[in-house]
Amino acid sequence: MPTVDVLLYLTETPRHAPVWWMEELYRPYGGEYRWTDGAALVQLLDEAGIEVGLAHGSDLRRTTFHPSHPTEHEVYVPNDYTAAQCAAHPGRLYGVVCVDPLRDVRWATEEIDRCVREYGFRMMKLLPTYHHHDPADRRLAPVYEKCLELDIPIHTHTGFTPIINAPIHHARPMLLDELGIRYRDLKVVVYLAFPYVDEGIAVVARHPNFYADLSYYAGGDPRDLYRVLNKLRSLNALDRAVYGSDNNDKQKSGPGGVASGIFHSVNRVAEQVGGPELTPDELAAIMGGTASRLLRIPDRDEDTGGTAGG
Amino acid sequence: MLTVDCHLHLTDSSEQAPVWWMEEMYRPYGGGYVWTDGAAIVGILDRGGVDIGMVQGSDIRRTTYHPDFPDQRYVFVPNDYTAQQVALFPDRLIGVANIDPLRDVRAGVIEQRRCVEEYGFRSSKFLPTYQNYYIDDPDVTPMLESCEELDIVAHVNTGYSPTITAALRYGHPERLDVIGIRHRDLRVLVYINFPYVDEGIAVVARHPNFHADIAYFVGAGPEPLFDALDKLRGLNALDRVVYGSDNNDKDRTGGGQQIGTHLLDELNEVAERTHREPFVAAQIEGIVGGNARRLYKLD
Repeated sequence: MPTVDVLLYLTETPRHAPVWWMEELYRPYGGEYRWTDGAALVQLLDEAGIEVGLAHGSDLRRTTFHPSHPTEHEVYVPNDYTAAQCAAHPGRLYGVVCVDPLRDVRWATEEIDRCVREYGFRMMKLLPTYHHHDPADRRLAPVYEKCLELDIPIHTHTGFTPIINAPIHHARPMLLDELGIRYRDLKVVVYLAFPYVDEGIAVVARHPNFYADLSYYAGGDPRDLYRVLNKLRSLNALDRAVYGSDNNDKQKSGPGGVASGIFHSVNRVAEQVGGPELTPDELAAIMGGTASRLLRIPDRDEDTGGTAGG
Repeated sequence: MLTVDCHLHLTDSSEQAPVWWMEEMYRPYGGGYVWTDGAAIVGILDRGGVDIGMVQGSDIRRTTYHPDFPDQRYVFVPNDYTAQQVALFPDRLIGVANIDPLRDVRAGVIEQRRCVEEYGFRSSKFLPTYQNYYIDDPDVTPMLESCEELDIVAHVNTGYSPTITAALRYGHPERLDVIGIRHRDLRVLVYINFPYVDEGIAVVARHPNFHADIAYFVGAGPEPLFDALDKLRGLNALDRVVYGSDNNDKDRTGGGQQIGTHLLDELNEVAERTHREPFVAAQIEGIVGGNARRLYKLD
């Protein structure tokens, strides 16, 4: 099974996101950022020793605003751009459909359909905080039903973002619980994050169709990561934890370094605290086995990818 | 010293809860479960070295549903059954009423009174997540007021459940804070539970009429239990902590560790390992029985 990073962002130039927006996003992490095209993402994968990345674009045009930059609200990395970058790196990058469902729900379902069937995209991105909606908002039902029809997972965020116009209220994992109750077959990958880590774990554990994206810990402390993994294990949900790096450029705590290194160091923590270690199989599942099954990522020697890595 | 387990569930057969429901409930803990009648509960008490158990049935008929088993939604262990089991073990078991307040608000109050006056039940269990209501919903108020009038304990569940239709949003302890503000004399026992352990502790500590049911920790290991008790001690609420086991059959350590009352013996091993203040014997005695005796007025 290939190793997989489920969370990588494409944002190549200020045409994709205003400078003020990038500065606001990276403010808590020292303010430094870099523009990322497909080649930059592949470089991140290589540095981490990871084979496959899921490339996310974005469409935050409707809800992006800063009073000092009132005309600069074009945060938009189109799906066609994502497809082109994946096609340039077949077998290394797979696309994630980014739509703003509330711009037009019907258009969103058609766009998801197009990206999956035409480009082989593997997942749909849902951003309730950035798009200002409850994830269980009934208006989104056609989008969820489309993902069920295409059998693709939804990737969604919980918790903290530095973007001021993205209200934290919509970042509560508790809101996703309603989605799990309503759709027992819809696969949902939940980005766990401060300040709702435990609530996120609870929601993932409650729903066997939910998965935990651990990208938050790419810039974190291995001790925190170990605690989360142990908690997931205690709720019989460790086999639904997946590795991600969120571009490995947001240092929050701990020693820093390459994201995959933090994940591989959890057994040193286990030794220090006298807790149970992760077995090689468990670690391999987190680093790619679980995600490659979920996202139908073939081994690289089986398939070098289609036009969009699919 | 009389010891008390405040949290025990009766479910004696698939006539009282569908098999799919039991499997969903026990999925995170390895899937194994046993049916429990009064004799089985007394067995749990004996193995834990506990004298008295507070036993509850359940009524989750209105909100139980699984799309693969649409006709199997009968989770119902009637209060009469609880009373019958208590009558078989009068020195070991005390009844806790279990009523769905939203099936019929007025009938709920009448049933609660009947359980207390006819059967001598000492508490009433509220299950906001399973029965899909907020504990501060005005429709629940008559039942809470009736608890106050009948001088019984309102035992309230919070937090995580593996049962998928038991929505997490109904399990946030902050809703209980409203109850504490409204009802200063109502004796409330709060099941402290992941992922809202800190919120649960805060709510208990804020309200002197609130108590903490620590059954969650019996399956979670001595370190989390020590952390919770240390916080409760720091907030001067340790004398309102009550031992419970939740049938002592849910291993939340992830490591298959032994679970049960022995955890209380291990507390001071944690204190020694982590260089924190140990608990004295009187505090432990309070947790395993003394605090419950006051709470339920058993003396």
